[in-house]
Amino acid sequence: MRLCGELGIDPSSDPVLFCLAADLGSKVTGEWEREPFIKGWISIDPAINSVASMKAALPKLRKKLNADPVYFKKVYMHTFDLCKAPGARVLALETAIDLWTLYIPPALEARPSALSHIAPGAAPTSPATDEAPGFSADDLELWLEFQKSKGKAVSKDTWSLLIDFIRTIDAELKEYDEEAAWPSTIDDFVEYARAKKA
Amino acid sequence: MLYKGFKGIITDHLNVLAEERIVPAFPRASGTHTAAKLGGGQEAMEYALEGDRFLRAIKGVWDDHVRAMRSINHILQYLNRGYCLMNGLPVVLEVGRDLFLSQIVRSNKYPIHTHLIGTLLSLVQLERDGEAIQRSSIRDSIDVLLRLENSEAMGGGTVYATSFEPEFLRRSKDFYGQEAITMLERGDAPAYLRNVETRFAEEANRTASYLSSFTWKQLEALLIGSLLTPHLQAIMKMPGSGLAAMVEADRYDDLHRLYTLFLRVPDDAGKDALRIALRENVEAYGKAINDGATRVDQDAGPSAGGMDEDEKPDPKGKGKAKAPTAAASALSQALRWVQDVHDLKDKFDAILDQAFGGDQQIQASINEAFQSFINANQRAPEFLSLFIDEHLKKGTKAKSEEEIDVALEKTIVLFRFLSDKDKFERYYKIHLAKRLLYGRSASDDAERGMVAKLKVEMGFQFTQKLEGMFTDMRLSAESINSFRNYMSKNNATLPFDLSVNVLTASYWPQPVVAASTCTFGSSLSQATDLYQKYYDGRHTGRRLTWQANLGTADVRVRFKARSHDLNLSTQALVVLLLFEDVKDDETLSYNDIKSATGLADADLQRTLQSLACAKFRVLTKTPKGRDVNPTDVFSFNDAFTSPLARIKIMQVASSKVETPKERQETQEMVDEERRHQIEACIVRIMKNRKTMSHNDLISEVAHQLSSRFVPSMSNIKKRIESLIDREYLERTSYVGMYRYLA
Repeated sequence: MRLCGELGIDPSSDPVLFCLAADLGSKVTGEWEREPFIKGWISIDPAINSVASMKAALPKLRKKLNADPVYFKKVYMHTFDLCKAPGARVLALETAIDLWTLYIPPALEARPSALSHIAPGAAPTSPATDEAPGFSADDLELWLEFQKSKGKAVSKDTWSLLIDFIRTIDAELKEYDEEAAWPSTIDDFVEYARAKKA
Repeated sequence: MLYKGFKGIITDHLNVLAEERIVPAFPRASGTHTAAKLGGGQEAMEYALEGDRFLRAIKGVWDDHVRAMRSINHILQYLNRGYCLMNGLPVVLEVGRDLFLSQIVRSNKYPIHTHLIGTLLSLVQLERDGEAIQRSSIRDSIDVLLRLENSEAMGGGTVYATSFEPEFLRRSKDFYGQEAITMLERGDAPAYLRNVETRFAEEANRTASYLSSFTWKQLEALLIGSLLTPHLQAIMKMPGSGLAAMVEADRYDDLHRLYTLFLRVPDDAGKDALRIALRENVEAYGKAINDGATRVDQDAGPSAGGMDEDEKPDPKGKGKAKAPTAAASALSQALRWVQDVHDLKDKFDAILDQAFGGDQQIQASINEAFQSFINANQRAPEFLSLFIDEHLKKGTKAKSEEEIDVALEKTIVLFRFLSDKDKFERYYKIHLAKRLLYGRSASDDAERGMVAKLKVEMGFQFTQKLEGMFTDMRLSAESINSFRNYMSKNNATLPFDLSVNVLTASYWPQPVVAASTCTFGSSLSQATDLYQKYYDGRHTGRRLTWQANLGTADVRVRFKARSHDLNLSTQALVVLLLFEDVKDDETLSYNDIKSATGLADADLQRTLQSLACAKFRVLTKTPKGRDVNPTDVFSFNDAFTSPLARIKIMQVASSKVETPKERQETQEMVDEERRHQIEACIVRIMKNRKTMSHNDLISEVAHQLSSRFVPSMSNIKKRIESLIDREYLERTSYVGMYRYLA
């Protein structure tokens, strides 16, 4: 927490903390092991040697998070493990909702966006483009609403595939292929969202 | 000179002949090609005669001409060779033929051509309308037309092919197009088909006897195109006489006609239409059968379910009185459903055989239809099993072995159509268990025969547990003998005969071997303890659980009037024995009985009902009533009388047909079982393949499980996800590919 204060991070609303957690190999919230911590900072920028220079590196990380799909997915997936209860397979719904609200809107707004639209079938790690994501902030609202209505904890599979879903889906959800390998939660969501939009 | 002179003479001669012999013979009505409506009867006959005369005249002129030309040809041999060939002119015979064509048939002076073609067509028309005509004269004229060849300049070909055939086909098309419409308006499909068949035969005969055989191909196509292709649906859907009516009345001849005619339609369009229509037809029948089953089901539903709890507000007794009949009717409903389906299958088998020559594609369509409606009935697996139960059970209608065998064989056929075979297995196991344990099986051979049949259909795995059940029964019978030896060796005696069926828990269906608690009285425990000792001595590591709900007991009970031998369930015996030490005027409360026997409420209530509320009331319940309540008090009914020495006290059984609640439970168990099976199947496949695409995996799973049930795609998908969550599988970086994690 002191580190947060010194680096000027608001832990409740700044996803950059999760970037650090992922990059610095933190497996439990707030705990940092020495070796991966140091190695991590070096990998972010070899020139870092003080708290001030750490702080200076943060804006770059924030930008990278929202613009680099591979990095986004890495941090996002690390967050799942970080935030679930120890030993659990799923992430509590409330936590998941908070995290989605934290992660997704800034990434949707960024240009290029880590969530920019890709053709169906393309690898989810395809580089970001300036194209606006097919998924909108309203869609996110629908998703959160849908999750609340189901009231179930979120599996890692759903957590992970949501990002792929956001990247491949078009604004009208027309291109969605029910036959494809999407988790059934996302099948259900598409049905839900189509009904709402109609 | 000579050549030209000869030509001129012939031309003049032919003109004279035309004027003298042909023109006077012109029939009245053939002046135009239309010659449309010829009046019937007398007029038609006259016309036929006139036409005939005309054709004869033509033929006569032709014959004379040919004869003359032949003579001239002989005379002018030299001319032929010396002049014609050298100058590249046609030889005499050819000249003669050409002149006949130009001067007679295509005469400029007289409308012979029009009359000739018109007459021919009109005569054909007359014959089509059913008048008798002289075929020979037509044949002759047609021959002439076939001999005459058009000049090179006109594109060659016989006059028949250029002048007659197209017009003939055009007329035929008009005629049959019109006929199709008029016949359809009459609304009689069999008559329509009969007519079509006749027309085919007539036209084939016509072309063979007086037209050119080359015409037949086109004419046939034309007939099909006019009479069949556009009207397939109209014929089959004809109200009151179409396909449905033919099937309903088993009109094999009509159906066969329909089939053979429809086969003529090109590109299999006729057969396909027939297949679709048949399918719809079968499904309509099937739906009626299903509707019949569910309708009575709804009637029976509430009162059957009422046995459990809903019945209390009803006026006393009324609900109970109704319940057995409702249960019975639900059973008969199930049996009727199967019987109806059998009958329907027989009906269509006969039709297929008699009318459609066992056509495999049609058979496939019919089977598809059966499959679809049988599986539309959610309860088909239960009904089928009940039907088999009814036939393998003792004491139902006396049926000969052959009859039973036929019925079972047919049931296997229906079983093939079933998609929820695992569900059937579940019901079959329950029904078989009841037959075996309550000794209700009519014949061991028949039972084994049925299992063998299922084995042939489904393979070893499917029947493994069923066979295990038989083995248990056999081993139990053997072990009871050795138990008796054991007793005599150890000088152990029991106050009664004990017979034990040892069931392997995994073979027998869950609801049957579900743990039920029961505290045996002292005399019974003595026996069970002894058997336990004997059993433990023979096997190690096995645990015996006593199932009082499955056994029966014979016991002699002394009442005031006389003694009766009672045959009752072990549970009932345990309850009855409690009253042994109770004085006549004393009572036991429900709770006393419950704590003494340790029976679960549902079991105890059923048992007490069978003892105190059913036909033979060996216990008296206060207050009286049909339902057993926890506040009730019971006493031994010493005043019990009955004319029978041996009395069978039936357990007030939950009806054989499942109540909606039980059905739901069964469905849940089936679903649970299926979840395991799907997961096992996914893991099996993935273990083998390591990585696999989503679609391949889904179709492989569906394929492998299809012999037992048809898993829905979403179910498979959910199982895959569950396996991913439990880290048996993972998604790869390729979209829609899974990897197996060892």
